[in-house]
Amino acid sequence: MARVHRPECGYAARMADARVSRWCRAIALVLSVSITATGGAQMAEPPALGDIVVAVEYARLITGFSQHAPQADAVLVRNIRKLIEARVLTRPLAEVERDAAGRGLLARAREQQSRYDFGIPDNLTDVIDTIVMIVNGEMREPLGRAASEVELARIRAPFDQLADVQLAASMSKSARALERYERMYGPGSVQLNLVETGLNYAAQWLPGFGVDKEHGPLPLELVSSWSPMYLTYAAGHAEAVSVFEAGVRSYIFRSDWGRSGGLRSILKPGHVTAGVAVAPEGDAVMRNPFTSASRMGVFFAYGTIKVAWVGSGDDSRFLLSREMRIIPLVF
Amino acid sequence: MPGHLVLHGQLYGLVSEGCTGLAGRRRDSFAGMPRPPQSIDWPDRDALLLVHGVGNAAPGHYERLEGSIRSLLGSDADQFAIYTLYYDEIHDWMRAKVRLDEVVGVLAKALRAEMGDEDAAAVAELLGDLVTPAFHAPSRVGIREVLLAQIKQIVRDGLRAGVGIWSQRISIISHSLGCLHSYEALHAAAKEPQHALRPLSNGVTFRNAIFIASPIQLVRSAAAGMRTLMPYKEDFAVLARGSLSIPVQASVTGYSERSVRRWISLTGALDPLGGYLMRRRIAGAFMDVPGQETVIDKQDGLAQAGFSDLMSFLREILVSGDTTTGITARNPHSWQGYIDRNADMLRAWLTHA
Repeated sequence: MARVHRPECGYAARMADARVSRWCRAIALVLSVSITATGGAQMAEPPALGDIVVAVEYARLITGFSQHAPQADAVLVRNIRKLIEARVLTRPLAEVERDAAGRGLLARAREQQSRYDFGIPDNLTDVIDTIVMIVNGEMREPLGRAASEVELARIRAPFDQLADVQLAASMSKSARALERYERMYGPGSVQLNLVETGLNYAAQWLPGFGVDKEHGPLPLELVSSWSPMYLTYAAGHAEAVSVFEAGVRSYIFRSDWGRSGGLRSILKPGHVTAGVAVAPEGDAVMRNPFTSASRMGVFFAYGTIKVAWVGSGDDSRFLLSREMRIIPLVF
Repeated sequence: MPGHLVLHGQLYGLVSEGCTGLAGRRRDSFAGMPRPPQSIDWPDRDALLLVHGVGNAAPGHYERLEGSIRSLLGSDADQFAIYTLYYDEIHDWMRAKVRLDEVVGVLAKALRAEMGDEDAAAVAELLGDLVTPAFHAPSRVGIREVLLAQIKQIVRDGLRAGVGIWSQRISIISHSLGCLHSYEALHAAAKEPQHALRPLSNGVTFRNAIFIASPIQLVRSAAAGMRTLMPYKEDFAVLARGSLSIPVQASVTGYSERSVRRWISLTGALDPLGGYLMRRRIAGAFMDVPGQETVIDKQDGLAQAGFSDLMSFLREILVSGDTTTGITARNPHSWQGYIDRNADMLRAWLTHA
């Protein structure tokens, strides 16, 4: 078996081809008889890759595809052989999508590879894609002429089922991407002031910022704002302190985080932020933080709750605040 | 401000936030898509998607337009599933995120323009719709994602109704800025495997893509000098090097298939956003895609084609901020006007092979 299926052996390849061709012709004959006699063949439930192979072989037969488009037919036969040799024909079409994500079909084929020494193509998804492309391309017109309406519906059925599986997977991905848009730009996201708008426009060219066409927005956002509502406790009483913050916010795209309202919004917020904090000399509100006596430190925000540590020695302060945008456009 | 009052206020805010959860108030769930794609039971094999331009389209917005389309389809109307796309929520999010309304209001005051809050909001709407897709890649890609999600749903609805992919007859009619988003979506559909909408790999093709008053070439020309300022431009099909094109997919065998069977550009002789200025074609503003069918609506009787009429039409668009329902049918850019004046042609495109 191993000798026969070794792809580099010309004789073995021809033998494999001959076996494949006889097998497919037999199935195509059975299918054509059943379609003609009963007006419809029973497809395996759930639909499997083998249904595609059978449909393609029948389509080749009734269109005389090998004479009509010999080059495309050669590519088609080569790829069908790869599918047959990979022993994946009984796998459900639903697993084709999981294969594209690296699980399911290809994993199963590789398990068998280690046992039977088959040549599993690395690009199993590409093999299926090539077969489908030729059917939708070169074979479409001749098939439309050669097949009756019933035959065409039966031949097309597994392809339509595969398309539906692929669309469903794609829509799931779209939904996740759009959830990210809502998390980052929707009503629950943090508004940007003018400076942040400009900074984040420029940051779109940086890794981690901007957008990825498959997954949606990337999670990072630059922060540059002046927060007048930090609180500290010193000399026996609470004081409000203005702090300038510059840093990076990262949105959390996990589905059970970032829900608005309630305790969960505090425990599992939609974003975290960290960066540099600059406080003015002395504990006061609305004072310029950028002087020679400024106190530098760090801040961290867990959702809307912010803490900061600035200064050193007697002048150091632990500060607490909430994310609030008070003066439009600026803070 | 006394620190203890601020502290009490902050603590109160935190505690009340926690208590509302404990009291069992319904929390907003994470909605997923801004608005789920429309799903319709197909009566037959035809589906039509309407994609609006600038403006705040919401459910109900397309009613009159949809009625006109059903009317022009006549007895064939019953075989169409007509979908309407709403993507303006993404624009609204971006506007709110950067507080664009406030920016425009401040600018207007600074320029001493007499612009009330409503006008400022309309201008912000227009600016947001026009500017953000060009300079903010997440806006552009997000709207494209919404449009593609709707197209995927349309195809799945057809499959659910028993109409195989080869038998589905899907048309898209876009207007104004909607043309840009449709162009982007169609190119992504034909090129990107993750959307499962390619003509050869997935068998999905569109019967008609009808672009009404398309500003695509205008955007290309305006953006030509600003390419370096546009992020993620390698993914911006409108700005692709070379000419505009009808999307195709090529197979490993060298065979290629167009994604759209019939690509139509319908614009008016008095519509500057569609590439005509007072009945003269403007080369840098008129969308001319190789292989497209071009129809010029003469727009006779709409205006004197003078400068003052032109300014009046543009001002109406600017102030309304909505080209679907916010401008009169006599405005050369009006979608309703185009549908009403070109009913026979639209019917022929939608119902004939």
